[in-house]
Amino acid sequence: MKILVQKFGGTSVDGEENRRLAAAKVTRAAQSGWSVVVVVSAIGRVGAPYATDTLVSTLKNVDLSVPPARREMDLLMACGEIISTVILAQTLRAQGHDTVALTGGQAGVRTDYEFGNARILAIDPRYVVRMLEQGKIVVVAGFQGVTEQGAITTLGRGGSDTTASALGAALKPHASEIAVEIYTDVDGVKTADPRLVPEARTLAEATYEEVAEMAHQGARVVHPRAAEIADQYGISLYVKSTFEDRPGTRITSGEQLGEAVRRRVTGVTHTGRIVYVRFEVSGSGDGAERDRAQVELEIYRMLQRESIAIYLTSTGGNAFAFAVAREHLPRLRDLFDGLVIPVDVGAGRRRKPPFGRLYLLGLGVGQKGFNAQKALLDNTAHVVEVHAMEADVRENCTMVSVITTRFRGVPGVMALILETLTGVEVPVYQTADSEYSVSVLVPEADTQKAVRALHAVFGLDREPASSVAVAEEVPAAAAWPPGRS
Amino acid sequence: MTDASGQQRVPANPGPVGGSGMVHFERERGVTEIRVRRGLAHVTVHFEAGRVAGERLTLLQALAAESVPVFLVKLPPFALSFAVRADVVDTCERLLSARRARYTLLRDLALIGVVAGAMRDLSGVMARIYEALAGAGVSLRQTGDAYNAVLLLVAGDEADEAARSLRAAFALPEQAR
Repeated sequence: MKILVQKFGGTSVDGEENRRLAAAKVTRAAQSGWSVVVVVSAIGRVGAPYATDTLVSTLKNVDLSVPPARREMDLLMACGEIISTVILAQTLRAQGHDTVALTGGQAGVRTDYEFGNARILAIDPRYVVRMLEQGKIVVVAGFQGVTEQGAITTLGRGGSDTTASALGAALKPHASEIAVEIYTDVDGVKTADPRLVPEARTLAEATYEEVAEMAHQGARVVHPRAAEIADQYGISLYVKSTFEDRPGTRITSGEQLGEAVRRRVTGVTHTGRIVYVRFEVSGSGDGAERDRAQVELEIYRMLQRESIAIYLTSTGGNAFAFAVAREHLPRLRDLFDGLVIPVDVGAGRRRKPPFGRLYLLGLGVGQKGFNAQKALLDNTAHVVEVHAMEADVRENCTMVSVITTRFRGVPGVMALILETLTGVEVPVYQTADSEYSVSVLVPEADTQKAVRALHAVFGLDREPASSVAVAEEVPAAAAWPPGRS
Repeated sequence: MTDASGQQRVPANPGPVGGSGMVHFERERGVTEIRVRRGLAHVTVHFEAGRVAGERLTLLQALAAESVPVFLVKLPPFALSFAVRADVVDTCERLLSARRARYTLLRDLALIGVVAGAMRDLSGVMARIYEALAGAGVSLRQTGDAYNAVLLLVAGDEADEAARSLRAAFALPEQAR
């Protein structure tokens, strides 16, 4: 039995016309001899009557002062997918297919007890297999599962993609052939956001690592959780458009794609709405470095307590910096404006002042807390050292990332990126790199200029054979990509 | 969840379903592995105010021309810092000396990779890393992050202690030697 898992996102099943197009994809697969499992997301966007956001808002509005229990919240949030599952199953039934609609739990998806962000522990695919053997098209609600005790859970970000990928893996032992198709409103993984770069190409193939890094750097592609499962179980994922008939992008392992893609530039992504914060401890040398480490630790502890994720971290000497999503800036100001971090206070057996150091933090704009604390702390200057630490906050930033494979072994990539951006007069505030990407922090107003310039210089608007795959040794920036004169 | 070699292992059967039809899945959320890569150096080159952007670019181009790959590249005020592999550090230093650059070079460093799935969805990893390293008395020279890891540059002779403290902090088994 050849099994095809097809996942349709919310927009793909929103409205009669879109459902008809989705159903046509299912029909075509079934007619081609596939046994089809369809995974569905919730219908509709914010404001639509059965959209998940609408349901959650209704629940919260019962009494704004009493937060709903997470268990009940999941029970409600799972409804959106169940509704779309039944509706799509009925759409297929109306077209003459024998279908069965299943909740995540009925499809055998077992999770832990982390309501709102549950992890799939296991899938028992036997019921789904039995239905397929009976010739049915099985429509499964994505984004959900059940605990050992039968409580309904939701899977958090990327939940439906994860459901599809995990079902593919669970069904693999029962299939002579298995594939997972993720249908969305674009025709595959793009080399850049086509709204910024109309010449952006659809990648024919990409590796799990590349799409995971693209998602990490802000692109709307398959969620890394789904890619990770597919990688682990050797499942080929395809990203396709519900609204067009194109081959889309095949996502698979680097080994399967061969040497041509072992080292290359895959795309340029951008993440908007970033705030970059840099703190600097006064002074230099080992003492300043130790104090920096202590202050940095305390700040990261506070961010941990607030569940604020940070990235683009940089540290060393007497300074450290990090980026957060801009939505967190007001909270950051609440947390850090006027915050006093004691370092080495009371340590040892000092008999004379200063008895340690106090770092007083400020985060720009008003700094009421900073000013108030400073006035108070000035009175203590005879017993402790007081150091004002006003952060350098860059609010209107975006991170533009060049997605690469095996960046570290290739000289000249960073030079070419900076050279290119200098050439189009885009200032670079900071850089970051990993095995999979090179990122630059630039003014948000320059996002399009930066993305377009980098997309062009790496030859991403051309076919891969001529430009994207990169030679093992690139002698200089000017030689990237090969063939550039 | 990892085994003694740091590799991911499947979780125990969580539910009543059991049987041979059960397939196990998603990794434990959070940190799953600590990796150590030795033989690195870190360079910080200082520039005069007013010419910083141009000087940074010229230096990176010169390094590329000498086939010196650089990573963990950062742009501190009036400076450029980066890491290089030990096999190209002498080439790098010769180039810096020839350019009469004002620089500091730290040899014998190690890169610790704190590996976790979907790092962007996690918060608090950095705080736990800093707590662990501070507790072990390990100084961080530089940091970086990718979708699946936080990268930490530390002194080579502190790498074992750093890895040990991080494994303890994230409840990972000590790696078999």
